[in-house]
Amino acid sequence: MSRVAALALSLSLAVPSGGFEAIASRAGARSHDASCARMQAWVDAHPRDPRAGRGLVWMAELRLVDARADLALPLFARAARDFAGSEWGWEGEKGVADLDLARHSYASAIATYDRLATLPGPYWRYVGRTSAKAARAARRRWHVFLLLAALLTIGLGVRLFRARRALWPPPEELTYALPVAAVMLLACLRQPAGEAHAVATVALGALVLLYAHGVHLRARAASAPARALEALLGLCEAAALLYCAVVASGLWARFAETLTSGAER
Amino acid sequence: MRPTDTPDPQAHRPAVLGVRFGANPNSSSLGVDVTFLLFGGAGALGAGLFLAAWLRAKRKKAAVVGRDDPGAAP
Repeated sequence: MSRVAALALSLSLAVPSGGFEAIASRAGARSHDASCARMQAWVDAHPRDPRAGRGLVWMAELRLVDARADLALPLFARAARDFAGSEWGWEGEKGVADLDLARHSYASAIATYDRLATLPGPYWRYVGRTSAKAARAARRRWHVFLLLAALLTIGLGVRLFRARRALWPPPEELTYALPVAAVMLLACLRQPAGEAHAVATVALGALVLLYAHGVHLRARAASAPARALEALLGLCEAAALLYCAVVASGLWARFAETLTSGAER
Repeated sequence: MRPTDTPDPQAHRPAVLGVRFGANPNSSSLGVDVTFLLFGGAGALGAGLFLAAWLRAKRKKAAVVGRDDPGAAP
């Protein structure tokens, strides 16, 4: 069970009795849309009730289970605004910051985490510090990703421009790689979305890079040092493509875990 | 030894239906198939780019020698 689903379930079990509990405890029996509609009606009818903040966060977490960040954001924001200074207001702030992080808005997310780290109590100090540290690391990775993606694109453009008179037929490198890429793309069909995205990015990116290198080498007679540089650049570009695929697919944490602990069988 | 009513644990031991080595239910690592595809794909790309630079240079050199040496044996 994901952290979000576990939180939604714990919120369902922890609510007190009354109409609120009747809605929250039956979330599993209804669709999330229906549950959120009922909870929204309850919150609108009891805007001053202390449980309204919890109801807003509960709805937002349900929306995140359904990968509807667009619907979760206004709920977190309302909880942060209407219940500022309370536990559910801080939960709302953290929810907004988490969504900012997912949209690569690192500055606002880090500012929120730093503010949460100054709250009294060990829980929010811990959550704020660890979240801010993770967000700063994610920002560094994102900047490296942008730099590498730009360098790959520039290298691609330069090679295609220099070989612009001989872009067809495709080079041999591409014909040898096509079956391998096809197998990789077929293997994506059985993978979850993130993993499939990463593997497809490597497969398709490899075809593009092989094509660009192939037509460039075919069109330009290069000296020995230039060939050595091309070979070295090829290795660097393969590593850069792998890094970009992993970061862009949101798999960095799992990738790092794989490197340190081994792959999951 | 005093006889007891406790059933023999060896006789009533539940059957082991399957054993899976190396599996960690708390692991968040990538699956071995995805790891193989990612590293294999990137490795094959790197090797392909490296070999292409080397082999194309060899081929060009051979072609140039063949064209410019009319007295060479066929």
